[in-house]
Amino acid sequence: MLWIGCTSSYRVPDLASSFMHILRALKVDFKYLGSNEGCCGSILLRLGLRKEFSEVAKKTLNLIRSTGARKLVTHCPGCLRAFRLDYPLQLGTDLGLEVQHSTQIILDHVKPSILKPVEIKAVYFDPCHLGRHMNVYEPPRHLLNMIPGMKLIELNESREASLCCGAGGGVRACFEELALAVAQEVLDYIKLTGAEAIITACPFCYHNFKTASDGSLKVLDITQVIQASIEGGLHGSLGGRS
Amino acid sequence: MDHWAEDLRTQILEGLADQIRRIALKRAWISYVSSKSATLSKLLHLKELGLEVRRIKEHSIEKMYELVKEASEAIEECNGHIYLAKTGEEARRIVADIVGKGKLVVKSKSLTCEEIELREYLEEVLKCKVLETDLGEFIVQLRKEKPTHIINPSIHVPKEEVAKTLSKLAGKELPDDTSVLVSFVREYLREYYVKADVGLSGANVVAAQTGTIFIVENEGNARFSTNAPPIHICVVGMEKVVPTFSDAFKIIELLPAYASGIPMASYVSLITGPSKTADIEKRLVYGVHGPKELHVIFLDNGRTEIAKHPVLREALYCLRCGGCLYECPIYRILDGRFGHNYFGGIGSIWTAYTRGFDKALFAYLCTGCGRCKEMCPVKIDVPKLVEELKAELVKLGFRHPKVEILFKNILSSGNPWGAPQELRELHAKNAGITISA
Ligand code: SF4
Repeated sequence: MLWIGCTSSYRVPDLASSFMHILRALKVDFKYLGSNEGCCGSILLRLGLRKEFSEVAKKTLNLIRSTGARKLVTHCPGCLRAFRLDYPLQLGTDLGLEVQHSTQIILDHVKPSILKPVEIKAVYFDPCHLGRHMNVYEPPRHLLNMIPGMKLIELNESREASLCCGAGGGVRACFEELALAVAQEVLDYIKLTGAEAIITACPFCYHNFKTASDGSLKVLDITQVIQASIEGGLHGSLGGRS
Repeated sequence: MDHWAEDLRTQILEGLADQIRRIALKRAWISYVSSKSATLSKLLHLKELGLEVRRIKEHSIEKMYELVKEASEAIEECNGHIYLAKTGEEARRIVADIVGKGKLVVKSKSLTCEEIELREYLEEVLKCKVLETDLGEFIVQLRKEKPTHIINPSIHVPKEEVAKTLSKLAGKELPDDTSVLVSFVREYLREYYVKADVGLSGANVVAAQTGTIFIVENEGNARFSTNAPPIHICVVGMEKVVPTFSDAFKIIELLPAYASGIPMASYVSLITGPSKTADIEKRLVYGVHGPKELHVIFLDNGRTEIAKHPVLREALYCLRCGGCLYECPIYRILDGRFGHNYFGGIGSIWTAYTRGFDKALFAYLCTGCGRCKEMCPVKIDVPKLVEELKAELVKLGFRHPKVEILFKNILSSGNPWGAPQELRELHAKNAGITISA
């Protein structure tokens, strides 16, 4: 079952569509709750509201369990972290099913033969919630390296030492100017490497970078890049939007 | 109670607009990061040593009281005086009794003294003349500002500004040439060391077994100010005590790389009791070339509370190297505005317990990214601690006004923005997916 998450659903729905496009192209069977999907509650916990988080989390836990799904695939690393780390810690129980990130399921099903060239020089940006918090460093890199024409630049500040987009911890929600200033610094820094694009794997990072960007560096989500690669290159879906 | 969030926002906006300061800060962290990485690639054993030091700290905090007691006995045995101050107020009174009114005090940099605003107290209440002798601290003192970094307190002041400040003191125009400025301060402070009644310092580590105080520095001012005056007062947090001399050395070996990106600091002073001689007829006399009196004040001021907290006690393992600050995305933009006496994520815990929770609301500026944890030599899980602190802040009523709305929306609409849930189907439709659950 897919868990798209609130940020992807409402703030950057294009990414959610891209993810679904990819799964369909890879012939992966999935269910999606649509308007019945809920909120993982992570934002509340990040801002110290434990009681409120638990209230929301219990509802969401029941919702997910009631579907009988055996595997949950989150599009958002924030939801991933909540389900895998925070639910067990705060509720004393996990979801009772496997929880994966979108990049992991894509990697499990993708065949190099369906990927067409995407000629771009880009930096892959490790999202905090995916990398440092959940230890998922390789799948996104692996996927991007499978794409013909993709030239990935590895920063010194990557993996465990990765920079932060500035949006986490409720900072984007409560102090937007600060979140955007942090994102701006990262974008400026990445421009110095000669990259044409920053590719992230988190709708939250994507949203924050996108808002902060003046357009001189393309801001992309990995799902957009893979969709473009499957559908025949950069032009159609990437060029217009970034 | 809601306006605190607005105050924080105002500070953020000021920080964002302060271009000069941001440039100075950027120069500083870029240079720090590159020297640290050179040093760490030379001294490969430091990573492992960090983990060993963590174990030393875990054990030491477990036994904080016993170790303070052991250190106190050892110091008394060498004819030093010891005190245990429960609060900042108590510590200030102890210092007042030792120093008296209207004295000349030379002080070396100490976060712990800063924590209890000791200099201000000496100046304003006891009418003493107090000279900060660390260059950065001296500049900040002259400018009547607050330090903005725990290792480099004047990191926000560019050299042109330093020149202006020092020119005023000199009564003549000084060029903005760093070495000219430094030698001016050197000459200026020299006579005060000798004339001073009291030298005031903190400590980086204390070895309980021998009662030895360790002070690490690069400038040489701490040596002067703890050695030249007849009385030396050292104010040290209880968490700084470790069991043995060799434990203390491990911390000292670790500090400079993370504090300043250098393999070792220029000076490490080891002080075990006051200066003494038995050269004349084997009779012990105190105060030969160094101080006649050594007073060590162990400061609690919230440390017992932190130690009792099952999660936050980890904050007491902090060595105050400042290594996490230059690596923090928020500090890199806001410097001292991301803190209050103590800075950054780890600083929010320290501020909460030593200065009050209402001063620690800057915790809400932490993104929880976790870079600090990776960069910390003793791997303190700062994001976890900050989240714990936020939960404490919420209990005390310090909730960001926006979270109420987020929560209500999630309950009523299933998402933080209160948007119609049907929108969740739009992107699926766009992808040509029929909802099947
Ligand atoms: S938290 Fe770690 S890196 Fe930061 S000052 Fe303390 S010991 Fe140094």
